[in-house]
Amino acid sequence: MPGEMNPRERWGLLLIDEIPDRPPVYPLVTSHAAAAYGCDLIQYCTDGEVLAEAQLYAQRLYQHEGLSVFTDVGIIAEAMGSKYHLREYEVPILDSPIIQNPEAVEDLRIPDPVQDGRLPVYLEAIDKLYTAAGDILPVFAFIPCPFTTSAGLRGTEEFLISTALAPENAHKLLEISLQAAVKFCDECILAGALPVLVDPLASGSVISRSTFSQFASPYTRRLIEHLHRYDLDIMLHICGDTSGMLDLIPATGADLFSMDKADISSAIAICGDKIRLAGNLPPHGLLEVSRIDMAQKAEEAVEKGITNPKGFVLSTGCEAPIKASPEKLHKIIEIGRKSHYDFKW
Amino acid sequence: MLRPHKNCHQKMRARQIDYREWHHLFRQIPEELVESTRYYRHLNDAEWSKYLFPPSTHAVYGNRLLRKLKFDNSLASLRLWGFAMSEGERLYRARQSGYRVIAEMGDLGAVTPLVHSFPDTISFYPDCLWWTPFLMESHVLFNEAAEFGLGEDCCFVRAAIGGYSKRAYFPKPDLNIGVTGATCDDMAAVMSEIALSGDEIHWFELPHRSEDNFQYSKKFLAGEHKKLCNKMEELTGVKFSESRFNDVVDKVNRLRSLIKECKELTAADGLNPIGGIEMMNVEFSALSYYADLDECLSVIEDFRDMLKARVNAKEGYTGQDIKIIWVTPAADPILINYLEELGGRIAGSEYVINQVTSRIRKDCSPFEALAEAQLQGSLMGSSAFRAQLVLDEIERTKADGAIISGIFGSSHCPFETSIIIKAVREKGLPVLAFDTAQPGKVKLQSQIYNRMQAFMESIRISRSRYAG
Ligand code: SF4
Repeated sequence: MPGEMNPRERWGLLLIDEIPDRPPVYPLVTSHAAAAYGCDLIQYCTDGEVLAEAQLYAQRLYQHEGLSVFTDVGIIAEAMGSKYHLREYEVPILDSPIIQNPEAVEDLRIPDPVQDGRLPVYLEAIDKLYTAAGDILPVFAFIPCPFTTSAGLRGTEEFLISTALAPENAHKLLEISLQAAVKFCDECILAGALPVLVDPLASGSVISRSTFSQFASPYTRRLIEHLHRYDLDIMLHICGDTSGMLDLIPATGADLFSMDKADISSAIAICGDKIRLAGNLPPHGLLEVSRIDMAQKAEEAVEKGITNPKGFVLSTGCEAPIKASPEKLHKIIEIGRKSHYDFKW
Repeated sequence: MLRPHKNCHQKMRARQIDYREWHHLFRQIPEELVESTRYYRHLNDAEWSKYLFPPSTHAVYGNRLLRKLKFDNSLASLRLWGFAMSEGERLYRARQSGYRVIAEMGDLGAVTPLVHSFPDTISFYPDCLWWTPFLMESHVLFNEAAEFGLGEDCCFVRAAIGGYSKRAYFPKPDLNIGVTGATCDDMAAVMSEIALSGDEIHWFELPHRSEDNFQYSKKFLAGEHKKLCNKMEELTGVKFSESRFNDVVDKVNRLRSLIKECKELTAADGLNPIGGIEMMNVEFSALSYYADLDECLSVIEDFRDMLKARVNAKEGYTGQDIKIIWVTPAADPILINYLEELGGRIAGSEYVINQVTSRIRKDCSPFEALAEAQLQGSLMGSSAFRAQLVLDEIERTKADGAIISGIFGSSHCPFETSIIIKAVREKGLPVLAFDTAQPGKVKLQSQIYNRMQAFMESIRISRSRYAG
């Protein structure tokens, strides 16, 4: 339609504090893209070309407003030596962490994104997506934050225990995870993607406010500082319940906060003047079997989110499930696309 | 004032590097320098006003061509790139900060001093959106223009109407100024469509320039400037002030002489001191100062200092020894890199913006002074005048040949191309003329590359024969 903004233009305005015609609609269509495209997750997670094709296919199908390069939160830990179990119909899970005893931290090496683990899969996918549609659609590369990568290197339980019993060791691990993330982010940027930082383990569902402030947030902030030096606008995604730590989010330096279980109005009241918000439709509501009225949820989210002074992105609180119902996804996207700001040019 | 070129980083040998290398080199730039390189400095370091960033930053936001271009490796050049590439955001920030934003369309850079003499007012040039489809390697703006009936038979400036229609490339201008009269048909068509779609335009009439009616043209033009001045008074509610105008003119004259100096340094004998794309960015700063005159002056001054230092030290890129005059700006900047890759260097140019090159007089009425400078315009008179501009450039730079990058289907350039070719050939110099391929037309572009290659080879052969 003449005069209609494309996603790149819409996001562009949002990121310079301008009001676009409407909020971008960007549910996290990640591994669900594999299901939509018809490949299994082992192919999706190990072949950049397949990942890119699946993303393009899903975007053409749903018309959501961004391409997402994301396989799993262990991508960096795996490239540093942890073993992940790849599964055909589930996302990869940690099999055996590389660090079996605290001293082993010293032996860790920062991975080379061009050749280690599945990091090259990301780079190939980003390059293909950027080349195919980067003028119209932003390409987002989901990068695990140091806190989450550290858990993948040490094992979640051991790492969380170390934050209490051996904090020095935890910090060492976080430091090298940070350096690895910086290097990987740089390559993703050079391939054409804007990093989105994901920190599922830093959720209020898993850790306390104080652990967040001492161990998660400082490293995320340093990663964001590195990216800010390049003037990049960074979205931080934390899944789970973040309602008790909303006031701590702006201190990470993130420009957008993609939230899961927290009330949008509360988030706006607490940090809406400092940060753009993205969220937060319940992903499990997209399952066929769910009784949640997703259309109503989407309408409510838009109604609240649109009042955020720093801007809003209609999204899911976490990844759309692999087996999400296409009809339900279509519906929430359609509702988002009908929303509008009081945009006067 | 910021002097990035005095930084240790500058000790590097002059070279052209790619966006990847700049991304890594950028980390060596001291934080304080990045922090202090800002536009709209009087706004006390507004959080968003930094602009010293590498090309990779702009590539991530969709400027895909940057991944293919070669950039000069000096800090002064990085600053220039950052300043030029941040213009789009700057226009929005200007509006957010309470500035009036004025759009100047057509052969207008000549009115910018008048516009900028009103307080809290900046201007921009929608025509310059013609680079956007090439920088983004995208058809978005061209497709949008096609919705208004402006297809491939219109010049790339049709991207401007895409910008108006999409409302995502610049804030709604407080005033649109468009030229009528002795202007190019393509741009006239674009402006008419903009007007027809509901954006009000203040029409500024350009008279045809000829030697016989110079005085009449000047008087007429002065009247147009006066009318525009009245319009600006009405818009801003502020009376025109000659002293404010003179302050702006001092700065604009300084900018124009800096640009001239840069052009002279670029043509110096010895190694090529700078890339042609950087110089194109410098020359186009004269149109609307990338929406911040003070910062623009500082950017171009740094750039001039860097160039001067290189020329004095006989530093430059190796292997680029064939001097070329480039005629009509390259909509696709990679064409300039091609030339450099083939051993050429742009020693001079005729980028159809001669109306913003001469000094503005201060010893006569402001409107007359503006009119007189504007009457040097490349396009408002005979084609012979423009051909002479090209010949003057050849003479000044001792060039080995000329390249004319035309625009398929456009009205102005094709007509003048044959006249310029004839004039240059009569001087015994080779000329290559081609139409710039649309973004993404890879095969057409490889043909252009092949033609450039043959052209450069033939210059080399005739040079060696001559030497023999
Ligand atoms: S045809 Fe030539 S003169 Fe006319 S707008 Fe295009 S470049 Fe300018």
